Amino acid sequence: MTPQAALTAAANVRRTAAAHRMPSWFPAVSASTFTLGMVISGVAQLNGFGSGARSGMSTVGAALIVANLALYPLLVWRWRRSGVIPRADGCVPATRRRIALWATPVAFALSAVVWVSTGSFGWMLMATGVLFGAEGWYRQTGWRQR
Amino acid sequence: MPRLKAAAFLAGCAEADFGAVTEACELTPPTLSKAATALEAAGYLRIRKGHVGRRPRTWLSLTTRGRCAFKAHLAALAALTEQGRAHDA
Repeated sequence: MTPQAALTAAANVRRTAAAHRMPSWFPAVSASTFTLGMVISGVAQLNGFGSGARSGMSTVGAALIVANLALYPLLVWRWRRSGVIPRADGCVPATRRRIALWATPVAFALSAVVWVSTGSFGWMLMATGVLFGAEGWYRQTGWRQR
Repeated sequence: MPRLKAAAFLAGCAEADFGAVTEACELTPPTLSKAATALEAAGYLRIRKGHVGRRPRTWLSLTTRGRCAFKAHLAALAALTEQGRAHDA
């Protein structure tokens, strides 16, 4: 076999493996369940709601966050069943990797700023939901771009 | 060639089941088994036994050393191809 043929065969096989990646729906569903769950939980903490409405919103918020957490074992289970676990690191473009490195501490800092400036736990929950939802979506869509 | 194919497939993912590798690389189980043993002995491959439900599975993954060696091997093949083209021209 010629070196050119070996290179082509290796590239084809590698492409087959790389085709197993995170499903396209995952980043959007993961980000939206987390953000909605945190925002609804945050709104429930604000004044102006009756105890019934508050407990209802807290339950819905908690259910969405639990659903978000359950998505990850489901994803891993799907990968394990298919027999191929995609690479999570080393396949993200360098710019995204650099931004993602800073995004988590920045999201923490901004959530803390919101908590301190408003003095409201509800607003902090909402800010955390939006910031970490966006950060997670950005990181996970990066895993799909190879 | 079976070693190169197996390494190429594993370079494109984090970990893969023995069956998935044989299917994707169009290798027979004994051929892949032999290639995997040789790659493991060289420190390029990690073999892990596991289960999915009740079914036992053998998981293969490239080690960091294996990924580096694979990249170097591809670079060497590319250089040979270039040399061949230059020689023909």
